[in-house]
Amino acid sequence: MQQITSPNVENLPKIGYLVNNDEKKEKFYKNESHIPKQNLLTGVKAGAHKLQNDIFTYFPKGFAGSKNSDFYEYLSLGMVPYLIGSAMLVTTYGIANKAFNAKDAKFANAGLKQAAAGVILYAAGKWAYQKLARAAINASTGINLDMRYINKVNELPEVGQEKGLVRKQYPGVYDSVQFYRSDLLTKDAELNHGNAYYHDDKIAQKAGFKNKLHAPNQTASDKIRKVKARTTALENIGKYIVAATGVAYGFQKSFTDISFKNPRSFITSTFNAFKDGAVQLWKGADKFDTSKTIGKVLNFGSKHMGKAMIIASGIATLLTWLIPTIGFKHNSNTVKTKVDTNKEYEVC
Amino acid sequence: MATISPLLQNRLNTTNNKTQIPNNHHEKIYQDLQKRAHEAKPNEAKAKMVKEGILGNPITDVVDTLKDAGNFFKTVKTGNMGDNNLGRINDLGLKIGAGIIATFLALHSKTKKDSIMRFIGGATFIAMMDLWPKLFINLPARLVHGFRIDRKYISAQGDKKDFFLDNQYLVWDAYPEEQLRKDAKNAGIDYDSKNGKEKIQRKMQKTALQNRTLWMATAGFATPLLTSMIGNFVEPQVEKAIVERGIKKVGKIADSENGMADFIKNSANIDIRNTKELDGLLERLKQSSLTDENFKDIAKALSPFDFLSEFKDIDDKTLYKGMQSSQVVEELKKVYKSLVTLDETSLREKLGTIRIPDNSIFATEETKYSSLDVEGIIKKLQGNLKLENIKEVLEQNGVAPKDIDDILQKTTRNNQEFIDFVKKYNEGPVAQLRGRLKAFGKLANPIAGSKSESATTLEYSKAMKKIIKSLGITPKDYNELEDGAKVFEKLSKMIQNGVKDEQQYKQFLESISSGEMDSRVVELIGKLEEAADSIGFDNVDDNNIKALNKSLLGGDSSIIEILKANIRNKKLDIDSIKARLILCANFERRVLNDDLKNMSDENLSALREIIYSGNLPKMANRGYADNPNDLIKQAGKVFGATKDENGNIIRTAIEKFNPDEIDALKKLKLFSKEEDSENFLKETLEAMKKIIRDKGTQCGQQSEDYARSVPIVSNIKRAIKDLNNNHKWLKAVAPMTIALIAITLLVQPFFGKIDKEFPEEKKGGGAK
Repeated sequence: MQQITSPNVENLPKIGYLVNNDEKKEKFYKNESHIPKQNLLTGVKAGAHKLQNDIFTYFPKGFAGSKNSDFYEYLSLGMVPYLIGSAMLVTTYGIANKAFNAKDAKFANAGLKQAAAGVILYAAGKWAYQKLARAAINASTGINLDMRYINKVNELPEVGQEKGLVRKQYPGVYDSVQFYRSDLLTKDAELNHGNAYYHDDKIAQKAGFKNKLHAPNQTASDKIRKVKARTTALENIGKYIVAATGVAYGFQKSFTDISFKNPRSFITSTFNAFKDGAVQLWKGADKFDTSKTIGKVLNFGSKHMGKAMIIASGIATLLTWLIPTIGFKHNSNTVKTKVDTNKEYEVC
Repeated sequence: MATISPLLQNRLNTTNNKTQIPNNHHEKIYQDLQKRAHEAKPNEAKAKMVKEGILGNPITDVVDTLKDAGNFFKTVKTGNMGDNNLGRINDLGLKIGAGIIATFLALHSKTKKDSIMRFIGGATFIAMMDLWPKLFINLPARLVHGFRIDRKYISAQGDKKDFFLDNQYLVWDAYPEEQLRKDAKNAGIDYDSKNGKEKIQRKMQKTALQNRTLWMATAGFATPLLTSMIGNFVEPQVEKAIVERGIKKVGKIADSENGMADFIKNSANIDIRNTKELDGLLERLKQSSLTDENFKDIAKALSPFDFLSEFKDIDDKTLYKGMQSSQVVEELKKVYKSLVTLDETSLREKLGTIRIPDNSIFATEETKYSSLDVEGIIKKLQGNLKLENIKEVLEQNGVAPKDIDDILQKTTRNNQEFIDFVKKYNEGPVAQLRGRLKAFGKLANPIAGSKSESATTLEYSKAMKKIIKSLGITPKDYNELEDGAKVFEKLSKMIQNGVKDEQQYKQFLESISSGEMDSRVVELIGKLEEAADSIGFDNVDDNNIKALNKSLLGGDSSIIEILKANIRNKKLDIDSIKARLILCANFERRVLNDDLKNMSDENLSALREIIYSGNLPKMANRGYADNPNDLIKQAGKVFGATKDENGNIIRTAIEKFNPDEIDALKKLKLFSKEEDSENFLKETLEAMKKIIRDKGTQCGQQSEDYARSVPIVSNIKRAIKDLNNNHKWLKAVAPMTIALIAITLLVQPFFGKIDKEFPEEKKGGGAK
């Protein structure tokens, strides 16, 4: 686990002490890693911070081969190929459209619009799914998997530097299963709620323990790890199912009708594209079927796959909430804990 | 780790002083530890390097993916899993998602090739995500720096990880010293010198980080670019493979003992899909008279082309595109008339109401109108209540035609027999016809279908490419030639140039006429034409069915004839394009050095446009030139025999073809007999002449005879457009890809510089 040490703070409040000192809190918040107040924009802010730093800090550091380049930065950079790749994918679709003659360009632009809608809805599907599932998990377990903390990183001095910089990062409290930041949760509970076990108590209560536990942190940490592991596993499959549905949605014929003539027509045509596209996806309208003389061209697969994908997305979202929640709930009738004093422990 | 935690140490100290007998298991461990404290050693490094080539191992990849799937289910079940394995499940999800997307898009693709390309695209995308760092980051790094930055290890927890995954957590303990020594040597660092080990480690760390950053910076560009480039190159190959497979499949049937005919004859009947629709339609019609609309609806429901929905591939349907069963309607009406009967009670009632006017001079007020002899008429009908019979009997009885119509229209009808017939016809001959048409489609589509994946389409595009090359058109000219008017201008100039030099002209003719269609394809086309006859019905007794069948299949415009013509034309299309080019060349040659030399510019350009595009020139539309008679006369010179001013017949155009041109035309094998080629020529010239003569009606239109295939100008324009779109796309994407690869490779030698971090090693304080 990352040790938080900072020479800047004196007389830090120790765990277990009741502290209600605004000044100390302020000082602590200023200098130490901590969990800030979460709101709707926390995630957006963290994302924006990451993107900005990717370009202006993490890439330069990475290219310089800096010792201070850490894993958080590397993971943050992982966002960049996604963004560039999406734009590039759309570009390869439409890169030569301008050079095509009018008829071909029209046809190619229709495909371009679909590709663009597909790419955007891919990301939107992923995002919406994760938000929804995590909100449900938060509601039923009290574990906010989106919770972020401000990480203060004291860097080593670079060559030619006298003193290392202190940088801010916005990782998630539960980013790691093994090393989720229980210490910060405890600290947050102490500083803001006057009870080091505040978060753990809440989780234990949600899990179904009627009485207050003596050491809720032990129970809570196990519960948290399992919820996080299950959710991550399910999310890592589920988000792609929903994302694929987003692509299928974007590739509906309705999205070729989006007009860019003026802002008003753009808004109405986009609205209609979404509205009609949803119906098309569900009913299995074939986007290529423009010829009436040929008659029906829908086969079983193309007729029902859209429906199947929408249903699968729903099920994936439901399961992503349900499975971790079921595993989370404590059943007092079946679970009997007993301390085994003879159990051997490996000491290293 | 040689230290014991302070807590433990404290505990040891206290217990040590008292040397008491351990009273529980834990204390025993503490005591043991205390005794062995001085010889305690760090645990052995359990992490191990993975031996794997720079391109990885596909088998390991598959095994790892299966492991990921296993880990997924294990996590769902137990909730216990580490970060690394959880993260790996993401790759599995990505593959599943790509698979779903490809399946969805493939299901909604219009052709087999498109469907296959969706999967190839998806798989290539994932493969490129994997291969880009391997080929353009890791491999160059190995070549430039002498060590590998892509090594993997298995951690003490059993997780497989990249060694340089985390810049700040490198398990050098697991890295074999032997290997490190080798790496140092390759990198030009003296391992045994002061800081030698630190230097190579730092150099590797730094290089790895820089390269991984480069990977992150380039992957977003590289994956879609490479995928689309590969897709672009693979696509024609896929098309070729599909066509070849089709030829093989059809060829196998054609070569079998009873050939295609049996395949068609033995095909399963296809019952109409919307029987319910037909039943409902007929139910509603049970007792009423039928309107024209009703007949059309029934004919539509009976359509043998209803089976088209059986074809998954939209291109498979194009063979039958435009075919309608409108001929059936008329025949169906006849059948209806012969089968429908009127209800007797209703007929009696209706007949009772009819008054026959007595127009004789003896008629009184009472006898002015007399009733019909209803019983007499019924008796005369002898129980035959069919429309035809009733009409006949009524006419004999002197009922006015107006009244006859009224009686026939308004009497309750009994359509049951007709309904039964329609059902029978639908289940019998039509179902059979559907089956046979489908079977024929299976054979014809891969060879001569209009689809993009048929053998003839491929041959056509091959031939067009060759023609474009023969004409000396290069990609540079593409942009210009996408404009139809420019094609005409440029094409005529090119041919005019080609005609100038005799030797060059000969070569041009040779290259145009060479390049025959694949002989196997030609053979199969012939067999298909023969086989089309097997679609016809077997002998039937029912006269009505016979008549209907004839309306479907008989005559020149029957389905079978249309199919045959469609197939035959596929081959002719290619050859007639070449033939037209030869005609154009002949014209230009004659303009240059023959009797056409003295023609006015205006007439010349008008005739030129006719011969190249089969159209009258635009100026013709605006009042047809200044001197139409002159043009007609000139046209005679070009296209056939005509009289000159003195009334002498000028030689026919056919004699104006030089031996090389005739040879080239003959080589095309447009027809089976050689003399047919000449006939074709005559016919074509005659047709062009007709364009001129029928100026009033034909302005701006193509003469039907001459326009059997699309004019050469349009053909070339279209072919160039296809080539050019691809060319334009490549022109935009290829330089980007090349630039990306170049940048990725060129920056790598600048990575891994550690001189600044180890300055004391520098001799003479050189440049920093």
